Amino acid sequence: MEDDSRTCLIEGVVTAPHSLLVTPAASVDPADAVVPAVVRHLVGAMRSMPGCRGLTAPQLGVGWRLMCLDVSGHPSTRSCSGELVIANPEIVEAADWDVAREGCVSVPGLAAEVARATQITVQGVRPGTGEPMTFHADAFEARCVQHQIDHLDGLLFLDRVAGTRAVHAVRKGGQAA
Amino acid sequence: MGLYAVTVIGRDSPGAVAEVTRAVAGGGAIGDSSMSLLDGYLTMTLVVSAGLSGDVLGENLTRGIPGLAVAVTDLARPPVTPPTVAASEGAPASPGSGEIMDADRLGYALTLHGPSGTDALSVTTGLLAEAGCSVTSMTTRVAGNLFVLVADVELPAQADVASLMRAMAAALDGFRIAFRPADPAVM
Ligand SMILES: [Zn+2]
Repeated sequence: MEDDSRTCLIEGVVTAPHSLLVTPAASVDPADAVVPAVVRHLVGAMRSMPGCRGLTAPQLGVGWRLMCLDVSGHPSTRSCSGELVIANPEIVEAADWDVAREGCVSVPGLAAEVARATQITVQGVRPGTGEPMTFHADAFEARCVQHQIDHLDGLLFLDRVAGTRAVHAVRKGGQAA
Repeated sequence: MGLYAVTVIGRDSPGAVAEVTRAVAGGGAIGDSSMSLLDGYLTMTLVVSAGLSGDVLGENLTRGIPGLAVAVTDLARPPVTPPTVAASEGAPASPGSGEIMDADRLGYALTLHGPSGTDALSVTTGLLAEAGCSVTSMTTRVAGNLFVLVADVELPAQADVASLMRAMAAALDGFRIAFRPADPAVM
């Protein structure tokens, strides 16, 4: 992967402004020999950041459609699939929008109110095996999935802010940083 | 390089925001800023890094946007405060409402609405201050007889939100008051 500028795994997380955060990621071959290492790095990075509920490959410098999430224990969680890693995810159904405040490890210092569907159906494939997967998510898990898929489409939560009063400076050390 | 807060207030007109930002950008780099129409008047506050002195920046802006009132405050200059016993003994100063807070604070969005023409705003902010809250963003609007307040506040983790709400309800008869948690979820 070293000779491909799209797959240059970094330590830490890419923060805005950065071209990888505004560039749609490329479809990933789930059987690519590099994928397991990227997945390990992705999950490890998510686990290492307190409060982080999801992460995508572009945030680690890899322009692939690969994401992970785990919303276990969050007070707004209803559906909970535990730790999920999905390649080439796509939302095939979405309903019941709601507004809530989001932060992002790639946008430290800011949070914003963003409208998201609270009921979604997602299709993708399992990294490694390429086995197709379909799952339903609601409430906070649905929000988190949409946030991650936005990253894969080159969008940040800032691109979905409802209005000028919806962006907030986050001053606390443990939040969105 | 100096750091200044530029405030611009005046009658709104087509292109006024563009004129202000062009004039300010001519003097330095604009950082945080906010703009809103208050009762139809244009109000802008911009934090500007500039190589000019505050006086020269102010003179340039007053010439560049003659129809609007401009004030420039030097943010880098430390505020003049009387020395305290603690300070003279070398103890660390406690943070004011504008300081960066520790992580043990909880974010809430406060909304309040009720009749206009009362002292609701000062009563509310007074109660928030007594409870150790800091206000990080606030907007009030009046529409006819209706007064609306929306604020982002940070409460100390040990603050008693329920008793704060009771105190507000008691002091602000006829107002609907709501606190909702507003800590962002990191994704
Ligand atoms: Zn994010």
